[in-house]
Amino acid sequence: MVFRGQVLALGNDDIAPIHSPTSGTISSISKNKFNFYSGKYFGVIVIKSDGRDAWGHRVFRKNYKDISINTFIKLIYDHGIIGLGGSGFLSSKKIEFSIGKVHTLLINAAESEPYVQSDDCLMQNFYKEIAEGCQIIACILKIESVVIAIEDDKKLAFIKIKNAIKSFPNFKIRKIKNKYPSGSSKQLIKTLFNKEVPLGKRSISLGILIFNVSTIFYIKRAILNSEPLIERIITLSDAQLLYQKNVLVRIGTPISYILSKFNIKNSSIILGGPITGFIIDDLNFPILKTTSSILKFKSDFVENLLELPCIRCTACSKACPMRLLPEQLYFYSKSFDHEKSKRYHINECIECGVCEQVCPSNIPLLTYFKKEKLELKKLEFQNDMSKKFKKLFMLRQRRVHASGLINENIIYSNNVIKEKRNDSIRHKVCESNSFLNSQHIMKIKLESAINRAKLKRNIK
Amino acid sequence: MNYRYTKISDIYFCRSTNNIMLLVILSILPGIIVEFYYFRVAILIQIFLSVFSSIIFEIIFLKLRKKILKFNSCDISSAMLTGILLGLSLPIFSPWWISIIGSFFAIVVAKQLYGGLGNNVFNPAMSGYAILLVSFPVVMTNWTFQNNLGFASVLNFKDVISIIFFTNLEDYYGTFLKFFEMSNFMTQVTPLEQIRIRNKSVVFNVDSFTSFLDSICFYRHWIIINFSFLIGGLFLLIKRIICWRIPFGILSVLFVFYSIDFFYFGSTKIFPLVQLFLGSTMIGAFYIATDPVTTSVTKLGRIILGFFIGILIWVIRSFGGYPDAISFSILLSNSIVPLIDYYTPPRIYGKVK
Repeated sequence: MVFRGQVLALGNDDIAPIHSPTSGTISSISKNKFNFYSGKYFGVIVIKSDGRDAWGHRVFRKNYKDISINTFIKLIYDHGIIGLGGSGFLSSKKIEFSIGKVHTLLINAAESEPYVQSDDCLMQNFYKEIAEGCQIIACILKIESVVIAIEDDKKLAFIKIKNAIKSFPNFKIRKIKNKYPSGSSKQLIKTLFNKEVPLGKRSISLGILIFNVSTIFYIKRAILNSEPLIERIITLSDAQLLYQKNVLVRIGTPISYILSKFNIKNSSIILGGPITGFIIDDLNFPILKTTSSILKFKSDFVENLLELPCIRCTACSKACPMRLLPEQLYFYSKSFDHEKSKRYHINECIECGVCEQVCPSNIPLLTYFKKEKLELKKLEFQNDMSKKFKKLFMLRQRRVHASGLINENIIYSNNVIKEKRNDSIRHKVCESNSFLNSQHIMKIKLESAINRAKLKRNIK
Repeated sequence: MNYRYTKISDIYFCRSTNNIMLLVILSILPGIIVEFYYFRVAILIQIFLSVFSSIIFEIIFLKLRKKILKFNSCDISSAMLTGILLGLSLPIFSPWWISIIGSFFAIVVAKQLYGGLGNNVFNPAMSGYAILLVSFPVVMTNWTFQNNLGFASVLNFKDVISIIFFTNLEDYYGTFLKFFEMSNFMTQVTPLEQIRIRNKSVVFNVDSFTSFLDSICFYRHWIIINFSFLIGGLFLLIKRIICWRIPFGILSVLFVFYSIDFFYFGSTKIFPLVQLFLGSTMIGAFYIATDPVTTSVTKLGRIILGFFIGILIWVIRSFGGYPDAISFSILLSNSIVPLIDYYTPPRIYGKVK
């Protein structure tokens, strides 16, 4: 039995906690694999709703000025708020990094991709709450100026936000050109402030804290209404733009349910924007926190085009917002030349997908780059594998000692260490922590663990 | 991993590779028409021969390499473009096997053996031309413009066919000489050859004019031909198919160097602006040097490459053994393209120098 807003899964350093979107009973917890979504395993919790939609315990606040920074960060973390612009970076971490370094709060109200309208809808309906959210962050982090960047074709939202922020002197609103990928944080800073974020650093090093509009909205909800991130606005649109709807859905709603509500049958679906999104096969896939749109398309929208040879026409490097050389990167990533692809900064690619849109030879450049990035990550992992596993092993040992569940037979089951076992160590194994952490024993344990690992490998 | 591929044509406008090739072929048409006006049917036969043979070679070698051959893809049109460029640069009365050997080298050796379109290091058309120039110097240096001009206007279709298809190599030169005697044509060399000879011997004193208008009047055929290629090149520039940097580099370097020659040393007596319209300068600068496969990919690299080609053209024309240096200078500069690319990467976003 869970209530709406109750914590279902606790997070760790990199993962935000997950909350129940509605009240009901947990019917099953399982492990599921979605091949189209990077082939990873997902833990799936199925909640059977009881229809009452009852809230759990909630604390309403009116005075946010007394909240200290630490409790503020903890509140944001506890309410499971992550960057809703598409990155999915933990908002609490972002704020933690920016304490005392930031003078400007930049609200990114530019849509991440064409066809997506969810931010526009949010601004038109909840403009007051957005202004309030900006004020909360500005007040707690002691930020001087707040800049809201809106694309020039969103006139209604522009007027409404302008009216909402009239009474605040340090708030500014600015129009930017509607051109993909202007919603990317680095490009936004370039167009607004004419500054460039230094290589390998975040925008915080320039003193600018960037938040998506919807993130701001949910921060406000979390602080004042104690409402965790359990719903979001997504755009449901047709590739031919026959209809376009913005719907407020609970996170975790299966896509098939949304489609059945709007009588959409037998169609292919792209989850996410048309450029960086992906086709899904399994319509039971849920809405995630970072999903911004569902795009329905006919078969002729997605063409399986023939990949022609690259003629180095440099259309891609002309279009690249990061001023990389995609055609060179293409050759290097095709031939797995990791040294060269690193030299030409493949890790700086923001994966906007403009290069493959303008390519006359129909080369899926982004797919090649993603593959190459994965390979680079694997290589990096292999390089410090021994260090990482040693660290993991130490952590495990500590956990085992802490729980007092040490099993002598498992640790000392190897013949190699039998001679050393005859020492007086044997009787004192579980006694004192300080003794267990002494270097000699650690060494023996490591050796035994390595031997076990080797044995395992040989058996395989 | 996501292996999907979409293209949203209403947001980003882009031409397909095939479309680019066909537009380049379209832009050469005024040049071909002007050459047809001067050389009549002979030039068309040369172009047809080299285009036909290069398409045949392309198809055969794509089959041998077990590649998918689609007629709407760019393979055929790129072979066609190579054939047209090769046919335009050949002497108009060269025998039929010359263009076939040239297109064999262009398509097979320079392109397919390197791995097909996009992987070749050297410009295919120019490497075919250079190999022909080295292997068959007698046939290939028969490009005596004034002669051919008169020669071509007199001959009818039958004669042209018989010269190109049914003359042996031994008879080839003899046929020309016989015809010159017959029709009382003065043997005269091309202007570029004239300049080269005059630079070496002071005695040569055929044309001593200095005025701008006089030189235009004297070389009007060359200027009109080059001007038609310039128009096609400007069309490509407007359509943003080629980059302005390479032609700009070549032409500016040539102009500056010839100006120094003309105004300071006085060694050439042709106005520097007219110099740019002699020989195959325009077709080299706008069509051959700008071949995207064999040029630098960076903006600064393209300017450097243009300067390099321009300097090479000027050096070979002034001091070297060949009057028209386009093919050799472009091939030489193609070989340093990887080096230029390595040292001129653009400043990426956020990088502080």
